[in-house]
Amino acid sequence: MRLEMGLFPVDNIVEGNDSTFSNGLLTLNFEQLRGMVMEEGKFEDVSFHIALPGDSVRITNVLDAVEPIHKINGNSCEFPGFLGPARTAGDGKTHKLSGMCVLSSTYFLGPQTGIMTCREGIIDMSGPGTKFCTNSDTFNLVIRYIPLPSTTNVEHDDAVRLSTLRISSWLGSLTKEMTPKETKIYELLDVDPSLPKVVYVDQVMHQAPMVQTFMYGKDLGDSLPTLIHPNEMLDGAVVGANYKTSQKVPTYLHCNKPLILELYRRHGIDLNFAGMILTRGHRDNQALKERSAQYVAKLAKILHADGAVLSFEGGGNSSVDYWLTVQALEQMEITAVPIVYEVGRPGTSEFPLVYHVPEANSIISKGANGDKVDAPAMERVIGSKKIFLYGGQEFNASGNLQLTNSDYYATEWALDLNGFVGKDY
Amino acid sequence: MNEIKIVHFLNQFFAGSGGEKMAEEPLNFHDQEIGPGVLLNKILGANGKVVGTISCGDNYFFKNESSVYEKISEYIKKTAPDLLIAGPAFNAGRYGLACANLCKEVSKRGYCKVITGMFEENPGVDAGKGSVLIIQTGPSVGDMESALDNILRIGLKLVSGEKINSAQDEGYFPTGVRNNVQLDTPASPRAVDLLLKKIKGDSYVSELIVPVLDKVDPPEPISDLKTAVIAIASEGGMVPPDNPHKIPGSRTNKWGVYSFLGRNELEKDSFISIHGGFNTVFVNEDPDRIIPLDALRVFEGRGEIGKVYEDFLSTCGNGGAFGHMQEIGQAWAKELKKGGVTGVILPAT
Repeated sequence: MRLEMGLFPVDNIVEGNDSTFSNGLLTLNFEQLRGMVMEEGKFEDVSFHIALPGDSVRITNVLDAVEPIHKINGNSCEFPGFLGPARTAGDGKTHKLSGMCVLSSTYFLGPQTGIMTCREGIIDMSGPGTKFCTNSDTFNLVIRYIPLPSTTNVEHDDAVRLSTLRISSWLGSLTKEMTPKETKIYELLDVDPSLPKVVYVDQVMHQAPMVQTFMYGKDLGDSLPTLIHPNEMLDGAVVGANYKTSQKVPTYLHCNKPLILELYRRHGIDLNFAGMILTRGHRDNQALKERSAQYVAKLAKILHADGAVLSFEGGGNSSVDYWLTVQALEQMEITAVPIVYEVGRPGTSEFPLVYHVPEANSIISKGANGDKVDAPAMERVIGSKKIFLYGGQEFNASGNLQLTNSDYYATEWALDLNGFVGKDY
Repeated sequence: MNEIKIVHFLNQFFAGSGGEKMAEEPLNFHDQEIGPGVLLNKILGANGKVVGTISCGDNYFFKNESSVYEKISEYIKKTAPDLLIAGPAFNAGRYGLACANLCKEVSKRGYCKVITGMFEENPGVDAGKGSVLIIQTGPSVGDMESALDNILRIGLKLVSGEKINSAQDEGYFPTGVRNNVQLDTPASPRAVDLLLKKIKGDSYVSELIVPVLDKVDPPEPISDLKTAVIAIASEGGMVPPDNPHKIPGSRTNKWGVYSFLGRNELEKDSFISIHGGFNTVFVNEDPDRIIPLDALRVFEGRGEIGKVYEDFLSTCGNGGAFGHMQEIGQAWAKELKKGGVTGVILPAT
């Protein structure tokens, strides 16, 4: 499987009469985009907003972030299962407007209870909060969707997802006839067989509406852990739909998983990237968690893995699945290094994990949730002007905010990307 | 920085009196540096000066601990140092304990900053953990120079209030507290580096060393259910609809007590779940699904259990900090004991 990823780096977005891409400048006709979003009558209204790195802008109610891709050739369409048949992604040629994202911002009118609640997603484009959220460093087109009064939460969520993916791929298609600035080749060629074989185990979330991950257009549901080629991930096979503030993994990250990029970079140099296993957390009970953990380890064994690096999306319940997976891998003599965030608040000696297995003795920490952030007032708010933080406090979104790092969008991945680590003091 | 004043604590051996034979030597105060204090003064240079030395026999210290503290307090009040340096004690057990205990005491009384140093196997490490900064040293006196270097480097930071970095970066024993630090390298390359080291059998350092948790042994079964008083306590976030204790949906240390009195079952809207971590639709439809009062009343009616405890204890376990949950557990145990409860059902989510 060989994927040629042609990159078209975006360094500015402006509104204009025609939608074009030229020399890093993306010009967009908002009326044209509006026509595309509204044509099926799925929304009450829609608006478009530009948010660039360094802007005095706070974006609220963010659901997903999608980096625009367009398939030039190959087996699949963009985001297969959503925008076309669920044919295998990851080969042929793909164009990408790199360094930009389409963000969906919206709210839900139906009742929300328990886990099936959409929690706030805040992105600050400048200030101290930028290191605690993803997409403060991407050039963003924000689509603000206003729900139809009659729509259910699930219908609205589905409509927003489809529309956001569709607009993204349309933006990607602006580069159709153009030559990429840079082309990256992703192919797992045979390498020196004496190099250690490393697999990547990615545990994502599936629980209920508002906490889902889609693969080829279908939520992971009760599916068993599965092998997936890293190119499929890079090429849009997995779409995020978890709206739990700090824990969520935007589609942008599924398509740019840092461990995939790192293992590819070192493939044939000091390791052999032997494959990738995608599994879901939050299985319903201990027996199912153990079953899933065993299954992951077995797949890694089938790949002849010497070692596994693991990443994880979710909270306390899912962490049990995660640690059992580490245990199962180690018990099958596959060295495992999990990346975790800590649950004890910084500056305290609170217990750092919800669950742990003695086999896990080589852990990468991306630090803890709980650092305080003095988020300054912003000149512009995109999204709801009022925000409701987890726990029920209501704030004026444009003002000075006393936030905790985990009030931001996809904090746990921001901690990962920005080099945070928990240390003993 | 002004020249800082240091008082140095030594045992009889390092003060030059002798080894085990002199362990009963009483407390002495000296107006100048002695033993390793000479080197300490040299390293200090213009930064400061050892203004006095306290020496004490290892056995004498522990036989007379409270009077030793009183006399040392008098001396420290008189000399008014900025910093007390105890040791380093390397792997000398009694000396290390004395250093840790003395530092703790002086720090508690707030006279000056304190610091000590010793080897990882010294029992003083555990004694001082969490309250005294203890620099890691080698096992023996051969490590004196680098031990004093490190003690002074951190000691000067303590006095000036300069930021002290992590235990690993600065070379002191962890106090139990963790903080976030930002590195230049993201998590993924660090993870792959660590993995390759471990596969090759090279030495590696885990970024998180997980503390060992208390094990809770299950209690003996209740011998006579017919006389048992059974309570229900739950972390499922079940509260009256107005949530009188304002228990949030995650990360709480709050809890409430609500009465079952006069109820045989829990109708819809008698209780709701404010828990933010599971799908609460089904327990809101029928709160008995999580608080099984209906079933317990049947057992009570048939005389199979003595009686149902009429108070229900409730909190929200979602994202709960370990320490908070421990405190709630202890408070609940007290409450239930006081009420004569002999068994408790803990439905969890």
